[in-house]
Amino acid sequence: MTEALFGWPPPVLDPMGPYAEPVRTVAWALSGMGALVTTLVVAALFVAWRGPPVWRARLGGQTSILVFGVALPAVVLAALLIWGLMLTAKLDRPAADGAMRVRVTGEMWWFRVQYLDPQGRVIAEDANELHIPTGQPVAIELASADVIHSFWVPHLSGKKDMIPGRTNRLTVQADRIGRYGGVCAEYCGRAHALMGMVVIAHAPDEFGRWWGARRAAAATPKPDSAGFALFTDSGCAACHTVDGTRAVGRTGPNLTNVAARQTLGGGILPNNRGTMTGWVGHSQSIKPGNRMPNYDRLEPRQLQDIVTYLETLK
Amino acid sequence: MIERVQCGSCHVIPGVDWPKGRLGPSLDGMDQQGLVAGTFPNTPQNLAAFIRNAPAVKPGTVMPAMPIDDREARDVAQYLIEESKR
Amino acid sequence: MTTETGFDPALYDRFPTRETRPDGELEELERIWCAPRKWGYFAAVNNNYIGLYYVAAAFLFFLLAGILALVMRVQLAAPLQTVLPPDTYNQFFTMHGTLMMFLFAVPMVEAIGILLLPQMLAARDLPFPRLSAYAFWAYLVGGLCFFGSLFIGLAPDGGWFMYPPLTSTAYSPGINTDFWLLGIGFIEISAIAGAIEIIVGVLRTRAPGMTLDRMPIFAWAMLVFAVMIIVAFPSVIVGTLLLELERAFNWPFFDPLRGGDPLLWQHLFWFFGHPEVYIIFLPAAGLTSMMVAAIARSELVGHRLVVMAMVGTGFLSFGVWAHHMFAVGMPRVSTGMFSAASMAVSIPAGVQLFAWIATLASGRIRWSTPALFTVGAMFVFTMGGLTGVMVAFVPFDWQAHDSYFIVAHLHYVLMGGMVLPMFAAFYFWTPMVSRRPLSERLGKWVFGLMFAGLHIAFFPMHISGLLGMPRRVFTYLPSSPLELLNFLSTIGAFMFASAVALFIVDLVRSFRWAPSEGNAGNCFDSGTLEWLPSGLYSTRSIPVVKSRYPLWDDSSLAKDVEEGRYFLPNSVTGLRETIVTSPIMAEPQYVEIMPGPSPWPFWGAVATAVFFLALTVQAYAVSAVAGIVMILCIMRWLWETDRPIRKRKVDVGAGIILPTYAVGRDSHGWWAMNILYIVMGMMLFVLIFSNAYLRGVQPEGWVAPPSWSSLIPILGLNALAAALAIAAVRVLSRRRRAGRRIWILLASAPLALAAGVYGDVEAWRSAGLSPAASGQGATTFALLAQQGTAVAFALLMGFYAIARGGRNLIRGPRSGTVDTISRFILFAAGQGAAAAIMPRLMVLA
Repeated sequence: MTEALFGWPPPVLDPMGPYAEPVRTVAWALSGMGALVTTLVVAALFVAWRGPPVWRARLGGQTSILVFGVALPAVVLAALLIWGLMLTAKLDRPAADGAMRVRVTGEMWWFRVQYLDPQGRVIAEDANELHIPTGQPVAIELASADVIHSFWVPHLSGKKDMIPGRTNRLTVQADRIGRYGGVCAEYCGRAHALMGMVVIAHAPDEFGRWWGARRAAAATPKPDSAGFALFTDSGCAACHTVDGTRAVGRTGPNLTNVAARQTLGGGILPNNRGTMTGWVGHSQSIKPGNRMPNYDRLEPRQLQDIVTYLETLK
Repeated sequence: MIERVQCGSCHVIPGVDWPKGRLGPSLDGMDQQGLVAGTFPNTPQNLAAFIRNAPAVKPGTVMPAMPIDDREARDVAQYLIEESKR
Repeated sequence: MTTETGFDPALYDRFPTRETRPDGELEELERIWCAPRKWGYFAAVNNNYIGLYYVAAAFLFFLLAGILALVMRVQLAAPLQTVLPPDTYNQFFTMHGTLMMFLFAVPMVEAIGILLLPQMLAARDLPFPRLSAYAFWAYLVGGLCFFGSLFIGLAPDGGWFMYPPLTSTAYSPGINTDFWLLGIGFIEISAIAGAIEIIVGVLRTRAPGMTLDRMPIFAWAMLVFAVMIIVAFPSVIVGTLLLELERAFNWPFFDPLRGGDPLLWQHLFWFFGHPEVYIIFLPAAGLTSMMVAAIARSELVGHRLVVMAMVGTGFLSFGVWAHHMFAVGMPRVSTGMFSAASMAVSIPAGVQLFAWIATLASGRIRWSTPALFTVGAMFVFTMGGLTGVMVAFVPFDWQAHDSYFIVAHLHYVLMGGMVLPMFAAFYFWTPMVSRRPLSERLGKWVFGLMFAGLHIAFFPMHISGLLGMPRRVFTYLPSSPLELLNFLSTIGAFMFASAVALFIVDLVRSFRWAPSEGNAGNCFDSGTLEWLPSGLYSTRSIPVVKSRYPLWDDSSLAKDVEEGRYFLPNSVTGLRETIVTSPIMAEPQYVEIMPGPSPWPFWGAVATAVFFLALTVQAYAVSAVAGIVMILCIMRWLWETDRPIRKRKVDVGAGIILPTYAVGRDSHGWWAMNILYIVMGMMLFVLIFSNAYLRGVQPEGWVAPPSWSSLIPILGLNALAAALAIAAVRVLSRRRRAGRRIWILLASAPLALAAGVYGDVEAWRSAGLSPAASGQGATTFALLAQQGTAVAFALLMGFYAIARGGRNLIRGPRSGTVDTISRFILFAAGQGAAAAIMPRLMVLA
């Protein structure tokens, strides 16, 4: 990565699903309206300055104020309001029962992603990466573990805040396979600028395969290795969970499939052995203020072992 | 190339604003260094070899083998030396 | 012709008078209103001084905040730069927003009001000059301390709207946030003080004959502005107090785990925060309305429509606050309501815009620097307004909200709505305060650079936002369109800055300020009273106003005024004075004796600053001392104000006789106190709202109220206090000699109030409620704390009454001091009853 999560064309104007699609039309229509009104105002100013006396006299009366300043905006705004409210109702409708359920929790400064079963129990946990099948709505529950964050994946939908003490609901749907970037949109403190995530939309059968692999990874027993011993002894396990092991920390991201992820550090680094080493060893120089301490006191050998261990977590 | 694999996660690299990792040594001034990794004479060949597969060259180093080929490693080595001269 | 006060309008026909005025009158006016010397500049209270100090200080904060913006633009010129560490960047943007909104925009329009209003209304000064002085010094000292926090790395870093829980102690343990609350505290004080001054000034010190319908549009704008401050600011005052209470004493207003709610802050903040935008915009629009008339040399077309539009904006602006919260997951009904109101509020803006265009069309545009800025502002404001309509469209806002699109929108609105009109006004009114106008040639360059710069800086931000760039980021990841757009924005920002620099060059070269030595005069051929020849005493005599543009309609007006052929051509009492007129028809009612220069407002302001600063750094002993000094300074300054003088009736010109002292409804003090009650009443209302809001969103675990019988003594004590206060006024009016002993009643009433609030606190305690335990406890005790504060003020007033009574300074049959204290006690008694009843009812609801 280390490239923006979005590129040209602007994702707001390049929607990938039905919860973002209508807003493209809205954006163009509103921009068009803006351009027209601006032109009208410039034209009126020009007439006021240079126009023929008859025009100026007409523009210079109270009637023109009532027509251009009251009647015209009232009509345009009423139409916009009706359109806007209808669309609000449509986009805000909760997903039907039986839709895939996910909970995304904003934490300083990353996103915890939990896949839920229909009863709302957590069946798998991930970080900064949400896999969804294309062509079907996904119901996302938005929560916060600390301060207010906001979940925004502009290709798929508008944003919604993640507020402590509340659960907000958002529905997204991707109609095309791809990787869609997301960011935290509500200022949440020091590393707010480096809090990103990706949504990966698979074709439904591909998603099924991915899901199977993900479940298998969680279920596979992890053989004890020098790396795992170091992982627990150095304190990693105090904050991180690896499913099926005695590492059950809840503060940091779940690392069960960390090696399979596309990004590190909250959507900001590509995931390879080098970046992993750098992140584990000295994450503070990469993302200042993040909650993970530097592990530069480890021997090189030890760091290697830990990273080797992490690389087995697929 | 440096951006793709993010050498900056561990090293301060001339011409790269972020990240300025501090796990590994700063690579600013690579042209002045006598030794690569404190072990080998600083030649572009040695540097490139180390960049490509550090553990093979110097067992026990923290630096991992990088997912790049020989030519790319030479480019990176050349970049480091050129940038440092500026 | 009807009258409001029984004043016979036929008397106006006696002006201009024919006979020549005796010699020495003008010299006496000059002596009474003399210019300060040396340290006297700190004691000056005249609006000619305070107004300009105020403008200069606000402009200083504009520059400081602008410099912060430039550094931020350097940081963002390219991706992943490290010019500023993230923490510093976060402090920078928080300070930029806070300085621009609180220390530049609001004070600047208020300052322009203080500088221009007395001149426009042909008053000698605003009615409470010492209050203006205090408000100014508190603002300057407080603002500088606040800015200074940046240099020691303690500047606030939570964004200018400071959402908890990010700003709660758990996530902002340092005192950075407290500095914000401190800085805002000052602005709240000075804004309220200024608003009181402006409302009373506009309603009561207009020149005779200047009915509301003939009042200049800027005065209307300032009136609406000040009323909006009175209604909106209490909400943020309460908000900041609650946040500080949460931080200092752990009262969980915003903590969802203990029955609070972070959204409560957002409601309180935005109920103030959105009207704030119109608070900034309306005065600037008022200036524009004045300038377009002069630019076209034609009366403002649709004058009454514009007035209606401004009043309408004021109303609507209180119904739009939650459009900042479309993304928090509100019920659909409220979303729809706020969306509708947000769109509707653009109609009055449209009315004003087309009224300006119609005015330009009905006359002939005479191009000048102010004309360029004014027309440019209309264009920029239109664009900002249109993106405003876009974000009022809810589904679009869900995408645009908190992205750079919003950054672009708000800068367009504020630039077009306030900054460009402000520069136009600088060019337009400089000849009124300076002996030389600003340079027209440089001015056109300033305009060109500024106009181009702001588009280059802010237009690309719309696209950055749609590209997914959130606001308040210290950096962004590389991507070619984003890099290009941000680089353009940085270039634009520097163009804008160079325009401001050029303006300063012009200012240094051309600006010659010496209010006692005249001014450059009516360069732009305007038709309103501020262009009458004037000195420190304002105009020599106060004209009778017969139209909206008296200078255009009566070509000999300036000469007659200068020769003293109108009201008050001299000082009738040998003191500073102005004519107080009736609020609607502006019929002369009495001569107000104005307080002269005094160092006490300055020292009071310094003590206030030390008081709050010491609180922030938790030096409680220092703060207590400073608090006492502050109270003493303020009492010292008030001491000289309520003084009936020997001459009870005076001739104000042409044989018209007016009294020199008024009490009750006629007096300007009565109006000011009533406005203060509205402020306190709004605070009470906001606190009750907070209690009710938490009852609605967090209904679990509320403690049952104390027994209803506990209400009886509380209400009884409040009733007793009210009865004592009424008795004091009654007794004084029946027995003139009672003045010596009346203080007994005034000093004992607050004791009853204190007993009442103490009883209420104890009742809730014994019911098992504690302020740190739950949202219910926090909001209930906050209400009681508000009552406690009012009681403390009442006690201070009681001491003041003792001091004055002991020196025989209370005279019957009616005394302003007694009236004021008695009415305050009545208010406090009513508030005590409300604070006792409402939280009990809320639990039942």
